[in-house]
Amino acid sequence: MKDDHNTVDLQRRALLRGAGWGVLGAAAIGLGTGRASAAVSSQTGEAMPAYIGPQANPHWNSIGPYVAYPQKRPLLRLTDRPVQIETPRAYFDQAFTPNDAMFVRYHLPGEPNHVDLAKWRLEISGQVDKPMSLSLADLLGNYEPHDVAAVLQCSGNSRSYFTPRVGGGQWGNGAMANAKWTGVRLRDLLDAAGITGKAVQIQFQGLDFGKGPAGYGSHAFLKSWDIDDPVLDKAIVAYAMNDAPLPMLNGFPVRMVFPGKFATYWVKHVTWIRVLDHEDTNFWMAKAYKIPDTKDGATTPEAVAKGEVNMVPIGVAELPVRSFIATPDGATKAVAGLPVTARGVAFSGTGPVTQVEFSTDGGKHWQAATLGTDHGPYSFREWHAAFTPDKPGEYRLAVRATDAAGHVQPDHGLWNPGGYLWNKIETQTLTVGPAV
Amino acid sequence: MMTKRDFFAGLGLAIALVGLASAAWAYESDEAGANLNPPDYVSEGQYETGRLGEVDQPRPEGFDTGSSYGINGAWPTYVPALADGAGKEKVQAYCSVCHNTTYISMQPPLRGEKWAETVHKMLDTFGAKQYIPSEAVPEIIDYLQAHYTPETIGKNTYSDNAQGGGSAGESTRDSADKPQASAGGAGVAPADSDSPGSKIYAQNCAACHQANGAGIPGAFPPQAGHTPTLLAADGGRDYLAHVLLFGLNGPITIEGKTYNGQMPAWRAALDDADIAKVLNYVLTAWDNNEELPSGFKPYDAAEIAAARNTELSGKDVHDARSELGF
Repeated sequence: MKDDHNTVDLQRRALLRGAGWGVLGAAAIGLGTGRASAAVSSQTGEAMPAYIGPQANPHWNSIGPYVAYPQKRPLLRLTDRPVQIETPRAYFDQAFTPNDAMFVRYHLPGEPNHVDLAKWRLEISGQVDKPMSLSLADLLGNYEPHDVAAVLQCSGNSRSYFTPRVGGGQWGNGAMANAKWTGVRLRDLLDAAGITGKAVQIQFQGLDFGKGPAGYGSHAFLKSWDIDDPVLDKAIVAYAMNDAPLPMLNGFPVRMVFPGKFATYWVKHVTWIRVLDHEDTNFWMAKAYKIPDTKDGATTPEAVAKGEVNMVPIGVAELPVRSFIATPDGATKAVAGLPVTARGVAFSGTGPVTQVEFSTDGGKHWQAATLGTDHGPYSFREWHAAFTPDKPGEYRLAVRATDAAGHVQPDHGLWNPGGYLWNKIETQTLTVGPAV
Repeated sequence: MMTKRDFFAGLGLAIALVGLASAAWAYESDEAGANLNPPDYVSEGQYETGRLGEVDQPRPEGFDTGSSYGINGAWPTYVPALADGAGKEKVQAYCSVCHNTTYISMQPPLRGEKWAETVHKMLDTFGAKQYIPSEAVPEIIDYLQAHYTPETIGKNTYSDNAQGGGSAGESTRDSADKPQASAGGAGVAPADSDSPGSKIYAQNCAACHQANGAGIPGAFPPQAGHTPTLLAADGGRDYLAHVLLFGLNGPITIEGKTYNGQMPAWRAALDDADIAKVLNYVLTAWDNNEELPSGFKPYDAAEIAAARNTELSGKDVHDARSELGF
């Protein structure tokens, strides 16, 4: 991927050298002949509005302010107790999201801020032959480490684009991240503990607690998989993220990684793994995070109101194929005759991504984009596409990805009551002026 | 404007280059040949005080080499003020038991019935009925419907970037920093609405602990009839200053009721004098003055400033409370 960047940068520099003063001088004249007013319009004077609606959020990210959190670069606030902060767009031009830029989504306000590893143990209990209590040193020393590059995407990522709007975390597109996760295979731990014949589901719980009464979803956050779900063979109990310890807000000391599945199952600070002899009926499985049992998980408010929709846990779904334009992002006006390189990332839970296409006319015509390094089927895949706008105007850039299962991003949104599974083709307007 | 641009486009590049060349000789230059002024096709960037605010960078802090890992200090909160109107205080108090009101201000405008449905989901599905008395429910729903639906949102001013009580930056220094009492014990005069700490209490504390100091049983502990007993305990005087400065985190029991909320730390939002004033207010309002130990001396700013030098977490303060015997 680095090579790709360098090549493009070299091309850009060569072009600037070759064109030299001619291009810049002409651009300056262009300003003088009618667009000087552009300098007056403010790009720094006004903050985002306090809310947007009832129409969809027109912005790439959510609309909250940048806020400072420990171990994090400034990220975008949704809520502060519990913590929900979003990754800004600019980070999505690279396959691996920096740890200190990775979004945070908690359900309960009792986020741990210290963990004493002298006392912390990963407890494996329930329907197992040998209950286990493992220190981090045990996980590091006694089990083979495994890596997977996998996208962590909040189920509600892009919820603010739903119309009619739905309540919940009003995420833009930045409730997603990609990391290289390193840890122990869940299967290795389960094999060591020995699952009994009575096992029905496996439940995961972390160190975050809420203020609600015991027995309610406001008190504990619990997620479970069926004992025969194939994702259990891919799951990692991760103690490293991009070759570093997990930031506290991303689940130190270990979190679950379920490649290809939504983040709600990737329990942070995972400490209790219970093999259940029954189906988990806690709020976070029985009531929350449910999608319509329809094609693509889409339905209508009318069908929901009539009670016609059968809802199932979002764990049945893989991450739908998506792709994003990180840059250009609309902050800069382009010059006709001067090349533009669009870049971003693509991913799919039914991957790998096999093709990314780019359009400069809102999707009427598509050209193949260049794909970056393949980091595995569950990872972000970088893409870029260069083009030269030949005349002034508004260009509607668009990107769409196709995955190995043949899924292609749709040109329409969907609706469901939870605000899940959004994967509409992303577009970006690029304004181009003349070189004159 | 359009005409002029069309004119240039029509004449084409050759004319433009002539234009560039003909403009070039018109500029005044100094003896070394440098142009004296920017050309007239440039607009120089102006400066003005930034209006988007800034994000301070944190001062670096170190760690010890022990087995405990984490972050130093508390999680920061950034709570925009809610719209003004009847029921606001109840919404702030009851909803904040489990989550900050950013959960409300973040939402797009939702239909009235959606807000009612959401409040009932909190009460029943999430168990908030344990904290919220049924008579407060209609008031909470009315407030949300009056300010956060497509028809009503934005009608009342949002004050951006204000703290939870909407008050942190507001001046509370309108009264002299005089102690409410000079004598001790039952001889201490009761606080009233003119007392220096009254306004600070109303703006920062009353949402949870209520204007009458009674708190909300099971959700927010009472101040009336309780705080003087803390002061009377050995070490209680420092403890009360520490609760205000560093917050309190952990379950406590008062008169058979358990409270497991989280008292925020006020050290950033209130200065030493304000914390002294509000402590003096709480200790003398609602007949608390009659419960004070004899020889009571009001807090002053210097005492709070000294207490500030200790670095405590909300959990440390909770441990200190246990040591007091509470």
